[in-house]
Amino acid sequence: MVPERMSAVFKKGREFMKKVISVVLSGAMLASIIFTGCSGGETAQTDTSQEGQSTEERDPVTIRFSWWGSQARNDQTQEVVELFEEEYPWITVECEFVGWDQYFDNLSTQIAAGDMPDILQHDYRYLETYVNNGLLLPLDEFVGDQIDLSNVDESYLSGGMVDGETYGISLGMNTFAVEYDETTFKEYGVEVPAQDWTYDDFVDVCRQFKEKGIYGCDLTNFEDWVLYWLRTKGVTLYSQEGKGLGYEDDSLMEELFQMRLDLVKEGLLPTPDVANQASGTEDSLIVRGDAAMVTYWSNATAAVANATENTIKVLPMFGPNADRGAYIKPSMFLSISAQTEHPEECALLIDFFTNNVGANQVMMGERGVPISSEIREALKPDLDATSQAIFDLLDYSKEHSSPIDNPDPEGAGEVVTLLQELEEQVLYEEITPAEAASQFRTEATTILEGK
Amino acid sequence: MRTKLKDNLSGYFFIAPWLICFLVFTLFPVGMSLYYSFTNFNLLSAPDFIGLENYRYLLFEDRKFWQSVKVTLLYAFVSIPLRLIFAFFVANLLAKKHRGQGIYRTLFYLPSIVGESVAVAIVWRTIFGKNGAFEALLGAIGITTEYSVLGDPSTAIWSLILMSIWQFGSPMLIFLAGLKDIPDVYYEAASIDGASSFQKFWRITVPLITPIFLFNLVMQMITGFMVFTQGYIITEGGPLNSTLFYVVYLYQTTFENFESGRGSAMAWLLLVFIGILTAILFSTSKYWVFEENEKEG
Amino acid sequence: MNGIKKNKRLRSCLYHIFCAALALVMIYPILWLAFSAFKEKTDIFQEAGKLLPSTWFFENFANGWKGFGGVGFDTFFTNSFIVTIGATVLSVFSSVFVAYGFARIRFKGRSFLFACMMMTLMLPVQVLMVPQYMLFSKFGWINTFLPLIVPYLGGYAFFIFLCVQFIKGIPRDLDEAARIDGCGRIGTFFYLILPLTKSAMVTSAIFSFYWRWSDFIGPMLYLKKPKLYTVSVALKLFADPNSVTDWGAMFAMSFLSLIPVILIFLFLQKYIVEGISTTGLKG
Repeated sequence: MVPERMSAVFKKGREFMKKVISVVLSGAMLASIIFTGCSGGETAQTDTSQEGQSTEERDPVTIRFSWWGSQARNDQTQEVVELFEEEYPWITVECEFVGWDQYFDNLSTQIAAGDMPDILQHDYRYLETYVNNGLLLPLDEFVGDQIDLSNVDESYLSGGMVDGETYGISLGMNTFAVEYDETTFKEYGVEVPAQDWTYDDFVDVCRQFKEKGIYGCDLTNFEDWVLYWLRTKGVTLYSQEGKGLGYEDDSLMEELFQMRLDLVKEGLLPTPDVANQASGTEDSLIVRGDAAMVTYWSNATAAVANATENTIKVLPMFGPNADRGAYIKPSMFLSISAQTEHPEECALLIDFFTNNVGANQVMMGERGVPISSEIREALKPDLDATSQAIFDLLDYSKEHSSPIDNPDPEGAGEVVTLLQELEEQVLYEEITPAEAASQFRTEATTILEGK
Repeated sequence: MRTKLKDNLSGYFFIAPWLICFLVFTLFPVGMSLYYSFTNFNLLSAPDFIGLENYRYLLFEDRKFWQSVKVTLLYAFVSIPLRLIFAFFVANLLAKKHRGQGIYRTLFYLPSIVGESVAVAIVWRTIFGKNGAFEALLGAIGITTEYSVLGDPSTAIWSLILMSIWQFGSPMLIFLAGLKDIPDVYYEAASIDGASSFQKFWRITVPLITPIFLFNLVMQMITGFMVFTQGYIITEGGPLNSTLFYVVYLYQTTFENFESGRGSAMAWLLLVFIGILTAILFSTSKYWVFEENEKEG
Repeated sequence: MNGIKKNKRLRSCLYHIFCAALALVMIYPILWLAFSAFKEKTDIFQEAGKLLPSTWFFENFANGWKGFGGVGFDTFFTNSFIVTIGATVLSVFSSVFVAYGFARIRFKGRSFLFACMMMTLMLPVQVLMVPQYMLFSKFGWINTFLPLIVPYLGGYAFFIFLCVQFIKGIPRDLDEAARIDGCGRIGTFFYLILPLTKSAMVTSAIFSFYWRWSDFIGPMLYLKKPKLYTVSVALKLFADPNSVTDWGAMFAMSFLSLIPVILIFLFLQKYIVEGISTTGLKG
């Protein structure tokens, strides 16, 4: 005998089942929408490319273009792509963009699956790694045909070269610089130093601000200080072949570690716990008015300027030997995949970014100062004060700099992490500057030799 | 004999959806990651078989590997018990009928749904960083006026542990569901026998919740050892690698250092470790987890 | 009598004070996020210590909503709903189904397969990303929602394990009774087990909805076209370290993206209500 209450449980169960079935059914319907929705999208796309074929005598071509960026850059870049598609109606550009944090993971994953985008934005740090793995196409054969570089100074191209061949065309030029808050300087009555200032001037300015109760300069970009510092001493961080370090004397590094430690201990620069707290440019000490200067790459200046109402200007890095230390670096490249079936079309897009006035008027140097002299002239009338200062700085740097080091070797990313860790240990006084210098040599050599 | 065959058939019938998806979608990636762990693979060119080299390097040469193990063990062994106890306590609080219960449940669950956002990272930094609310609190009780919890290598990990306790929503919800599924009949019978609330809690609630407790313990252990987001977005492993969680280091190894083979080896070492712990938990479970015996099954 | 009533009221009062105080601590960061959505973008960090905005700024929502390159958040929300609801419905239902097999039926290889299933939870996703992408790329599923939904046809290990634990808690007498009542395995599952694991299913659905909604690794890998992006992917697109980030818009959209998750929770949590009424069953 089944107890009476048992049937009650079953009855409840049946009602419940009805609900479940209706939920499942709606799920199935949803799934069918997804299927049809997707295929619908696909057909729409082939249609548009066929249209292109009928108006032009060309076969329609689709290329995939991948970059990293934030909202502003994503909008601008898509606008440029639309302009490009108008000019070359047989080419469809499929845009793929993610944030910087996910960009290279994403790209590595696609590459591992043989699914690399045709044309991609690339960073100096990983260029050589990609070239050594045979992933990028040499661009020299397109120069003169699809890519016009007649208005581009030779020195702006060397950054994209590996072993004498061009693998990336710079999207903009950058130099490592000191951004300063002009308003704060005025407010505290501190004189803005001249462009040929030295380390002593830097310390002097910092001390003046320290007396007023704010930091002289933020604690950032140690790896770039290292590169710059070693160059002023006439040596480089990496050796020519990239399999080891490019300097012999560890006391150079020791001196630099000591320098940063002294600056922090004197309270001219913040301690790492303060410096690391910022959640982004908008949260950095200079924007908050807690520091008067910061060392960044010049193309980051716009973001600083944008986040504050104060006037932000730039100075070259301080000397001595600033001319030897300073260099102009591509902010980022456009490169073409070695696996692409449409290299010419990709090259056309590179040319469009480099030489098209309309495209550059959309971007307004957001990726760095344009490499073409003609474009720079065309943009000049529309620049705001900060952009103007950046353009001027690059003009100054052109005369007061030395050629860039070889592209970062494989393992450079790890070496940079190592540098940052060692600096932290020095600043927390876990190790001495001398220990840091020798530890850096041992571990960096292991990393670089292992690649 | 015939019932055995029937059981086998119906067993596989029920697990078929999972089994098919496992074979189609999971087995290949899992197998590939095992294979990669024996190779030198930078993601950009074809993998190169190197035997046990990755494992050897990790276990015997990699300083940061052991640092990440240390950090993760500390995090897991402190945060998991605290989180479970807290979740169980609050679940009991919310299981009884009270007005406004739905609101409380929602409020207590909320922290768990913002857990991975940039916003939380920023809030955590403003509370536990320099000039933060916590510093002000320390100042108010006269300990120190200059202190950043996140900036001090010896305390940064504790603020992340605190965060994991703060996000007790998921084990709480599971406990709550478990508590609600304890048949009323047991409590009614106990009341008739004159049991006190305390006795009911220890004699009925606790034993009957043990299967759920086992579940929460196992799952919290798995997710605890695989903690990633907090260390990645709030502290980025720092200061001085004091919050370098195992999976954060795995991620850096795989994608930032282009050592994907070594990253896979790390994943498999983790799997073996968690697997052993889970097996131990399951094998001891017959001593402490209440379950009706299975003879009729 | 009066004393008992007073005592009860006092206890209830204490209960509410305690819960409310705890709740306040718990949700401070969420309030901070919500109010940041109304702060002007330069104020978000400058006034991080203050909870309320000094001036209410509504433009963040308009700026954020317009999205990227002509694809707005209306599209991102639609995509998120499709992926999340699809995956949730499939995984919750399949999980109970599979769990019944593991929990109640003795079959050959059960322990081994159960161990395999648990193992899938122990491998970090970061290491499975690459081979999984290869697989779906072979299937031609890139730029469709399929890789984000179809694998859940087999349930999700976490939920399967959860349901197994709940099913084990259901008295076996009920199964026995159902069999006498003429139910086969399938009947027992549908009419007995399914209704009785309601709490576990609701719990799973809440988790699934949140996890799938906030997951961005999957959508980022498989959905490369902006018009297919989900909310979680779009949110990640606001911030870039060396260019301008509109934090106000980011917070505004983060805030909006939480609302569906909160509503789902509010709606579903009330189904975690009463225990199984089996009063008198054994008698």
